Amino acid sequence: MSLFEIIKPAAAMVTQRVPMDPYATILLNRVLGLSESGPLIPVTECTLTGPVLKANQDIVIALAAPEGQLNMPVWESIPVPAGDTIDLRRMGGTSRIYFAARSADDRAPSLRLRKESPLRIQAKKEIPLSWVDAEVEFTARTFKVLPASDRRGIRCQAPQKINGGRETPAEPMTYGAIQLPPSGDPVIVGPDGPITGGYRRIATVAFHGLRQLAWLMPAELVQFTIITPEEALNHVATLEEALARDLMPC
Amino acid sequence: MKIQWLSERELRLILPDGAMTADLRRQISGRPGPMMAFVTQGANAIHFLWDPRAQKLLKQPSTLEREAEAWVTDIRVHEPQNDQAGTGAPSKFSVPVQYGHDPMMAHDLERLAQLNQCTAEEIVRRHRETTWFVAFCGFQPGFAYLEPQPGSPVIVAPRHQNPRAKVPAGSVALGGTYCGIYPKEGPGGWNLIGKTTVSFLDPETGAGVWQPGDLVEFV
Repeated sequence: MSLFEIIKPAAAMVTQRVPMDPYATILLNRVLGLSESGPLIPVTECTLTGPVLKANQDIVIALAAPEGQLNMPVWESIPVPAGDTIDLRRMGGTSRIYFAARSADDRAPSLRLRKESPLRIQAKKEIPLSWVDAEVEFTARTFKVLPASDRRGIRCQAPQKINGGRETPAEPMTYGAIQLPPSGDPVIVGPDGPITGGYRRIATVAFHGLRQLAWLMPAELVQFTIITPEEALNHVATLEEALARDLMPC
Repeated sequence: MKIQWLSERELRLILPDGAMTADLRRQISGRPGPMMAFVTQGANAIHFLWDPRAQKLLKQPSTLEREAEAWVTDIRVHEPQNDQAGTGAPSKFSVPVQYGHDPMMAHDLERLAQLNQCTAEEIVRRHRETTWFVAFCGFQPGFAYLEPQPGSPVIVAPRHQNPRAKVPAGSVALGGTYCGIYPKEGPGGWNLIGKTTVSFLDPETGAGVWQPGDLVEFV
């Protein structure tokens, strides 16, 4: 018997795929008392609306979302008795939430993330870029996230079109690469996006900035800021230190 | 070779003109890169992607540059080429295409006809008379970049200013000098000229059946 049944599904749910927040899987597993040294529980990513779940047995669930968006605690183990329902439909001002669950019978500690931990996401509107094509003027602009955005790509609309968009020989793309088509409106490649592309690549979102992409809402305004590769690595180091330090018993 | 970092975790290695041979592409395909890098290839570049959580690794960019360059050089110099590589002779595929006429599907035959100052029928004729070869694979699983063999009729096919959010699976499309078949629905900026009902995905693995160097004709 599965741990829970889905009473009402989310608008879009994916499991066993690369999460848009690259820390969602490891962090929710850590919260549920599991580490990378053993098998990890799959994390489910829900877009725009969350599901309603009913526990089939005593379970422990953990949720991920930006601070203050859900009416349930995030980044901590929550015991759910058999038969109880969990309503995640109201997601506040975020486009995605993550959840993972394990049996309450598993011998794993129930943990929570410290309130002040840098691993907690603040839904900022500034996306760090760790590389920008020197020929493109790309920062200090405010872009609108278009509704056509999804896990394949986040489409942005520039108030003034960015010059220099053009076709190039097809080149590798990765999650966080930013392409500029001739239209002048950039597209941020998502985790389900193409692995090659023929529009000019003008920038790359820093690894820790990918966490911000997960929470962007349609019509939301975002800005980009440039950091050095060293600064980007230092941010990741900070998150790794927090991962080893900031989990404590519930 | 020219080396460029594209972020704290991604290195681009641009090869000299003509160096990205079909043999080299076959050798690289699916092979892990130096220091556990994920390797992808484009028209004339190879990219190496590392896990940024591997901090010690990425704090030594010059070492990674040397390792990446040596990795490619080693394959080019020491690996057996052509059929001796064990990858077999190129396959030949015939792809049935329904050109343009599906009212449920947007197509760009008229756009291409205008750009090439000819008729839509002439675009179809040129496309059919060309023998294409798989230059490399990418974009989506099972997608191949097909290039015309030298001497083939020319079709000018610039990509759209803004990519479509959805292109149906099975769409046959032209982008720049390439032709391709979308294995799955997805975004795309190429010019749609028709559709095929033949899938080129392995039903068991979900991977593409194309290999660099394979020949393709449209019928």
